[in-house]
Amino acid sequence: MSGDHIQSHLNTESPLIEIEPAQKIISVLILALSLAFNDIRNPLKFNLILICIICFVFVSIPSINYLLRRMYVIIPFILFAFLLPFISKSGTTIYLYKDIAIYQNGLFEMSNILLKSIAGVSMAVALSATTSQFDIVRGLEKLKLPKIFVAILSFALRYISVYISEFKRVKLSMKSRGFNSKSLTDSVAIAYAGSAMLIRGFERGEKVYSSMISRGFDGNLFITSKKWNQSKLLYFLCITTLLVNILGYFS
Amino acid sequence: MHVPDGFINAPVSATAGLLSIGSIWASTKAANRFLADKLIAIAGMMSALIFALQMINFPIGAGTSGHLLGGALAVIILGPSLGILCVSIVVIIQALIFADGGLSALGINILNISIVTGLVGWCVIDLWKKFFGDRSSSLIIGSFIAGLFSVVMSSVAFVAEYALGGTVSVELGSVFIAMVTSHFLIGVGEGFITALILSLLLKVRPDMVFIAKNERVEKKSTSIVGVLLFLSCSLIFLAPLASSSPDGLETVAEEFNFDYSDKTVTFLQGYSIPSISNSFISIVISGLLGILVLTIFLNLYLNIARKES
Repeated sequence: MSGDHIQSHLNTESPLIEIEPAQKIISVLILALSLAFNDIRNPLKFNLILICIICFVFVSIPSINYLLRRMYVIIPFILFAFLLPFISKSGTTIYLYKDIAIYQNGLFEMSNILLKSIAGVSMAVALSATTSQFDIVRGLEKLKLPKIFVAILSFALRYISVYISEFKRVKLSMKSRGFNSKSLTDSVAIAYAGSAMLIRGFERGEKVYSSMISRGFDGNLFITSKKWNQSKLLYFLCITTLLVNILGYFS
Repeated sequence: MHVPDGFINAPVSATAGLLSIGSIWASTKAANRFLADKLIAIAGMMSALIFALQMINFPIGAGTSGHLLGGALAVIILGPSLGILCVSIVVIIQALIFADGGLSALGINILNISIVTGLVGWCVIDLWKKFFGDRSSSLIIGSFIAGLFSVVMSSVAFVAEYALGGTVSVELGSVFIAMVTSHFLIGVGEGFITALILSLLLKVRPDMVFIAKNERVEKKSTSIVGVLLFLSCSLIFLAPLASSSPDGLETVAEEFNFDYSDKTVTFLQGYSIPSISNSFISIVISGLLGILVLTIFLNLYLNIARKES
């Protein structure tokens, strides 16, 4: 199968690897949403939920390095968050050195954004560390998402890697013909390469579809079902989080 | 640009999430007739291509870079319902598997990246087609404008969400200027690439471009009325929630002896309209605003569904 290099590297030693994907998706959503719905100015609730999230992440990932390598997407936001104490001008002013001041409100906002975004990203990394892409599709199908949605999702997942490797191939062949993008007119070549890929993809889609029809496709994707286990740890984490939210709401 | 967790507060995220769920539901209802059609495979390919296109960042000057959004391209080639579905799927894949964009901000990201770009792109190209005919040259120019407008309106949608529920107190005006100018430049790139891709497609496979096809199928609008009811009900329920959470915070802040009145002034402003002192009136106004926006959205949907079917 061409272009399978972005298949995620699963952490086979994690106890969560045999767990039903639907349960994992639901728990991740519960944890992420309850963190987002709580504020950092309420430290007790916030920290309890954060501890649940840290448990989930550390059960899933193989090493800290693995997590750090995959967190690069939020680097711009982390940099922005470190700017906040200086530019968010409200609240008590703390003078660091002569005229250089930071603001307390900005400090709260910084830690709010930092903790929430890092927790969100590490949970997504943890989910993909224990669940392969196609198991996530299985989980979404089990959660009764519309059939057409799941079908397009599984097609897209299968062909993203194909497109990425094809894109690399096109770039290499353009380079070997002496193409180097310097002026604006060169972007025409890039756009034409992209649309050539699109047309090729469309034709591939038609072929794939006709072969699926000939194998008896009628809108249902996964006929064979796999045996999954349920995780007590995830139940525990979810119930704790929900209890913290509910009790915190009424107290 | 994908919004991470914690950037927009919870009520606005939840409302955006409900809007996204409703819109995705409406588009799956409208797109269901393609389930046993080869378009479903092509839609999957289109999502994969948009994913690949969104990975390419290009510099737009001053140390920032942007990436394509692809919403206008998707609706031009696949039609509004499948196009919006495609880009939403790209955003969901990015959030669940590649950790790009926050999980609680998923609704906001879907709203900005797929629904706003898709609707705006479709409206622009549809109006353009009405006024200038469906010759390929006019469609290509229209697609440039559709790409440009879709990206700019997406950044405006982000600014609106920020104004309603931003958790940081950076000035609204500077956010607006920064977002819209940078996204104007990204939009020029997006429009350029959309137009070029469409021009080649119209030359080689014009049968694949939805906007050039003039399709007519039977009507299906009951689902959209259902979505309208569902979303307005949920918004009515969410509007008091949006105002009640600062109260909870207030008590907690007092409990932990924070100097509350001094620090959370800007925080409160995010929830309600700052210039109105009476909280109840401001809540009602913000709720009505939300429902107004929603009605405009769904009217657009109704029109599109009618035109498509």
